[in-house]
Amino acid sequence: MTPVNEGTSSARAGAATQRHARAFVGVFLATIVVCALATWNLWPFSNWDLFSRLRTDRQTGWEALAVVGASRERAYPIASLPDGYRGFALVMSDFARDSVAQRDAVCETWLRDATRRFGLRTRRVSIFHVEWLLLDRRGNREAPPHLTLAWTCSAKGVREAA
Amino acid sequence: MRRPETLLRLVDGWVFAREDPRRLAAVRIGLCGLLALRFAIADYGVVARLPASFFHPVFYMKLFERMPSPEVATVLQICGIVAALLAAAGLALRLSLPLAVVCSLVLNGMLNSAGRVIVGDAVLTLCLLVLLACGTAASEAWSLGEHLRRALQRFRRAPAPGPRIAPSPIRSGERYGWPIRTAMIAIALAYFLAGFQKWRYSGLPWITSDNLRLILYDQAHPSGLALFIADRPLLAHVFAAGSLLLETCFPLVLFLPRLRWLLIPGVVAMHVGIRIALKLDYSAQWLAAVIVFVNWPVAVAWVRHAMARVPMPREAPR
Repeated sequence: MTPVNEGTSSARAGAATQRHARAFVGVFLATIVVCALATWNLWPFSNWDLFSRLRTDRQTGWEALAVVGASRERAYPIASLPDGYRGFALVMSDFARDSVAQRDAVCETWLRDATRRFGLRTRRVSIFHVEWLLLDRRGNREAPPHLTLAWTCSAKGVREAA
Repeated sequence: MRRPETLLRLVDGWVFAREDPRRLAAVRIGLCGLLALRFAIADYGVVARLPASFFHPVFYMKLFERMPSPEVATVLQICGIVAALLAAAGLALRLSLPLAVVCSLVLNGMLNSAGRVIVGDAVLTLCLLVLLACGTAASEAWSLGEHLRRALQRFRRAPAPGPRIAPSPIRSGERYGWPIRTAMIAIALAYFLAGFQKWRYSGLPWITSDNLRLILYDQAHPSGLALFIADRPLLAHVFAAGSLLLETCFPLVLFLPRLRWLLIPGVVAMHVGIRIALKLDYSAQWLAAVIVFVNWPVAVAWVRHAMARVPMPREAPR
């Protein structure tokens, strides 16, 4: 190949690379915008929906207590996994719609984990539906929440509160 | 010529303008170094050990039947660190960078499949995807590969093939510019879209209501800073307005480079504040912004120049 031909072919290759680069840039940036507008969370193409919805004063959530021995209740922090994971809230949001077998499997996992944490005298795990008002403060702390027993996990399986 | 075409040509001219290869190399070193650091400090075992009922795969993680085991997570973490460090050094970039990105996608996918999608590393990953798309252009300056080749030549005492190992003059080119400016646009879009969604779903009440106070109070153990702001409604409104203004106006850094001196420290301060007040880690995002927007060759030249002007310390008299 002569130097002239070499130069022409490298210029052609350069032009092709630029065409590919332009196509990539267009598709890449369009994906970022479309995912946000359509609220598709296709990580790392996020929907950037960060704290965008207004919070309300009334909050609801779930809390678990392990019952050890006759009636001693211990806080069982399955809801407070590190780094803001919300597995517990997600599981509880569909819990009532899950099949009995699925609920039993989940409860068995929690009861086993509670027994590992609090000892063999752990009898059951009680799941409470919690409601509280964020602006109702007692000094530096929020007012005590209102707890309603929702589910009980024991060796016999899961039972819905009456 | 019609206006849209003119605008498109202007944008194209800006994105595909020539750039110093050392600037792209600096972005490579910074982003890959940051990725290695993220791999090293993250605890993927927390999610790898979760019971099967907690596995809620999102997007590409649906390819996995269950959460990868802690052993797989550890292997990916080690591979990721080695690959990211090799890529930062500019070694075997065609292999090391894709490997580092794949490890990052799986490990971040694990974190995102535990009930909540975590946005923190998304911007860094988007910038790495751009780096991946530019091929080997990012390793044509400030790379250990060239030094290693020279050392190997000297060791073998083979005659050096002149042009190959001769120090090549620094030539700017379009291929070094578009990855940096595409990463800049991606970062600017990330901030703008975060602000846009707040306007879209909440509007002005995002600033004027008790929204920010409620966000700050809504924690198991609010920090002193969170309570200090939340207990003062006026201060909370000021912070809400400031952060929404910052996010909405961030794309101005693309057109008005002088504003980078204001808006980049602004977002760094916002993320540090969020870290203290809400314990949410966005360090990968603000560090990626700093890495991409700072003109490192100019910064290095400035530091060298400043150091050259400092007189050498004299030996202390005995």
